[in-house]
Amino acid sequence: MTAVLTRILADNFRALVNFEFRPGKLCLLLGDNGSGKSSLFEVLALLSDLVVRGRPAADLFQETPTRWDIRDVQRFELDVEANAGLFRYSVEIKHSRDVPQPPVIRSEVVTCNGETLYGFAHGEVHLAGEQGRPNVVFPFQSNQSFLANVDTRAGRLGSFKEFLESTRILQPNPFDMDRTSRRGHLPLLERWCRNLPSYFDYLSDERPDSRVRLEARLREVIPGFLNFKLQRVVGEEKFLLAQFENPNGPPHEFGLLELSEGQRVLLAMYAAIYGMLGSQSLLCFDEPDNFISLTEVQPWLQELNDVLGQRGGQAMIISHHPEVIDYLALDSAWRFERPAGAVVARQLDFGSEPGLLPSEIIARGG
Amino acid sequence: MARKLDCLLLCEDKEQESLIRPILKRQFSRVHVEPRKPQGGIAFVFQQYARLVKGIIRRYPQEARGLVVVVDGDTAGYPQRLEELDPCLLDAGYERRDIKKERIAVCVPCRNVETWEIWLCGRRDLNESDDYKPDFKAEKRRGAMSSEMALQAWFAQVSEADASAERAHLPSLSNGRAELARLYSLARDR
Repeated sequence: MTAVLTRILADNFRALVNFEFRPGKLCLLLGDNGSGKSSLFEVLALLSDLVVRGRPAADLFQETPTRWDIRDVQRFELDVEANAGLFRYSVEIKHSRDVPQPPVIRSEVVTCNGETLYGFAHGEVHLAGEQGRPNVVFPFQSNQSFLANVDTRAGRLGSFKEFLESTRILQPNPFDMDRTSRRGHLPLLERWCRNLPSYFDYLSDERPDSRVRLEARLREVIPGFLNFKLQRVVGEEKFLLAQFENPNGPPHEFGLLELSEGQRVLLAMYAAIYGMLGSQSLLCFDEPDNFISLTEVQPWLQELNDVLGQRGGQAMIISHHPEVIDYLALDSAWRFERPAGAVVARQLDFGSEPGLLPSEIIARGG
Repeated sequence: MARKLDCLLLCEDKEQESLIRPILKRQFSRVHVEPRKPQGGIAFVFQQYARLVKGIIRRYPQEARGLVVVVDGDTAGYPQRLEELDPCLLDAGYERRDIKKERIAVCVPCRNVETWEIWLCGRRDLNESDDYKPDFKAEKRRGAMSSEMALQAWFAQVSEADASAERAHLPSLSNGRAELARLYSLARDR
């Protein structure tokens, strides 16, 4: 299955007021600090947590309405172009501004090519019967999404949910990574990549081709690196060890936290490309260039671009790094601004500004 | 520790990069694409060429690093493009006769890189004067041709008959292949 996010709408969420964004295959989000770039990623993360992981609306949307907006309903929409057709997901979150009550789901709808597959409103779920099954209606609570209970293998609704399951925000934090694999085989990297050893363990068992590719790539970018090794400590817990060349004997072995911060981030960023990119995945990288040496930024972008071309999928990158800007901005860059408080995004066109690099233009307020 | 071979790619546009960078990636550990300026085009390549030759290639003579310059021949053609690039080298202190010993490869796709791509994808009724850019775009849209297919063909075994046809129809492509092979061999031997 292929799936591409073609439109996001967020209304009454932080500084996003009736904000619409139409991402491409690979797009770069630029803008000053506080211009709303990360809020857009936050929308995707929250909707994914709501729909896929079934987290309560109260945990996710508390204190997120726009501060100067008096409306008590937030509205979000996602359009996803997939093999089955054009999915539209809409959800409304109701807040009680005057009474201390947690936010709840007011309505939630999934359509495919205009046909309603799922609806929730007034405490009732309406599920359209697929493949000859009858429509069903039953009561459900308003603090969680019923979609969390839908099997991703179940028809068109499952396909849509699968897309959200493959949508990840990644912002590697090398200071907060586990040393060992101990949380079972998680098929996805967490936002801060804390579970990197567990994810590597998963790749080793379930996606050995991705592990081979990852190690081959790291041999190119980390001097002397040979391989990774998972060494059992106790029970299911395993140390992730990196082996390095030693001309005088057996390889030197280093724990993950003995590697430099930049090397840890490189490992996470390449693991994301080889393990998580696929024809229906959307990866959102929030300043992935932090910690990475200047010479390694462009090769990582090239690899991302190449794997997107080979396997499909979609990526969005937030960055302030000149190497990233100069490599991507001429093709698809969006500048986020808040001219009157609310966020607006405009696609950058450098066509009439010869003579300067895109990063030079951006740095000068262009 | 395995030695790394780095390569700098200076080209005019994305289409050139989409063919040449993957070719270089198969031979060099790391390929750095020089950032392009909006509306930069060929003038930008000329300007950067002199800076890179002076600042990188001449400054670090022992490094295993190569420079690949790609400019379309357009209506000027191969010899004129080389002549246009010469002053950049003289400015950096090179003699023209020395350039073949240096880690610099100059590729001049004629008439443009789409001509190379469309040839590599299998079409043979081509010359270096006509512009096949619209044809390649149309074939790409149809899914019949792509830069990836051209890349596969670049590394595929070429029969003597095909090599001979290539030299006759698109000498710039044969020259380009030779330039990249020479560069790789020089960079590797540093």
